[in-house]
Amino acid sequence: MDELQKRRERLSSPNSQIESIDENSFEHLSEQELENMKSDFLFEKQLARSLKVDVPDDLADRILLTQRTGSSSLRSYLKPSLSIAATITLVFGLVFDSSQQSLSSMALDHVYHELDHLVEQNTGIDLAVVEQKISSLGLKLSQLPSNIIYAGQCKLGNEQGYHLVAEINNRPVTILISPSQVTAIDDFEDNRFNGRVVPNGSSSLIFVGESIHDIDQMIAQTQSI
Amino acid sequence: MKIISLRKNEKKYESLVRSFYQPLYRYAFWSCKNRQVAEDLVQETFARAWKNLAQLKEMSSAKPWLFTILNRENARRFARKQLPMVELSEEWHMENIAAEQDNADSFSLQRAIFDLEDEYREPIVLQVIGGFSTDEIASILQLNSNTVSTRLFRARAALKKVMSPEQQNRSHSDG
Repeated sequence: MDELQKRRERLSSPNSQIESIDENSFEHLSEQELENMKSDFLFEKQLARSLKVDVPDDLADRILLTQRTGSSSLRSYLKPSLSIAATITLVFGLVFDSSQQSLSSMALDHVYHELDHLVEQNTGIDLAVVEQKISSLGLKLSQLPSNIIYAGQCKLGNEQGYHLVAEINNRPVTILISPSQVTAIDDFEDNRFNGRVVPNGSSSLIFVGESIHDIDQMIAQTQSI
Repeated sequence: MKIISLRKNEKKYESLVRSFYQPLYRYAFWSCKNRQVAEDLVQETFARAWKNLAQLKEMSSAKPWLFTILNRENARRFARKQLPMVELSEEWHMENIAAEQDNADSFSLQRAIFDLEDEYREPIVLQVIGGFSTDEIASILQLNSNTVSTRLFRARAALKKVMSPEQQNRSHSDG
């Protein structure tokens, strides 16, 4: 290694140069080399101090909160692809007391039950009545979906919820408004349906449909997040 | 089985956030020179990391992986033309930095770092804040190692030049 290259190494990675020198090799250093090393060391110390700007105290907590609530500015994360949805499968025993029937099971029960009844309900639905009913149960939905084919009060475990079915892309998506509060977005699935639970203030929304893409669109339509 | 997997992922993610949010924020700050944008970049970086957590096979590769994501997010910011810097004066930024450290020598050095071209500032911040080797920096910035070495060399030379002999002497006695 020639002098120029040595100097270049010393200036591009001074810390590693300093660390590579053992006790014995110090004896072989000239006064000038020792002086250079001391100067480098002090410069590096000051450089590190200068670069170390303050970091907001609660940043880590806010990042974790964003992930748990799904309220990130990253909208794309709220619209995961089918493959992501399939891998982030969750059984709701995580969120609720184990003695409580899971929201996902209840949601799927409702959906299988409604398959037999949808045809009877596909008549004109008064949106003002639906809104009033949701509100009277102490529940909320930011915006009703545009093509509701079923609406009605329902029992979710021991609690009163509200059950909507709306079409999107000519396929039905079920929306259950549950008084149970959740803190994070969660996905579930069975052999036929995909589902997603979304925090909704002090309550939760459960979307179930055959296509995760339909669910994404329905969530966007109801502007529930 | 899936519950355990999700819990493991959440624990892994929390560990990543708590271990690396500080150096990532500092690198983001020196990349965009704006606190709010830096915070957004770190948030976006971790959101993307969560989404792609399965790609991270070894925790030992987490740090370069996260810095690479942040670097790409920063590049996307340019692609989206979100450049709030143009609205703010240099003075504002320097006051913003100086308020946090009243050390006059650090202030001079910070001004010099601030004035460095991006291509020189980024590798030196990665080296000092991230603790990366030349090869790792090359990989994060998608450059070859010789180019990184040259830029590190030039960045340091430029920074040393702005320090007055008095300041240099003071920093010597500081040690």
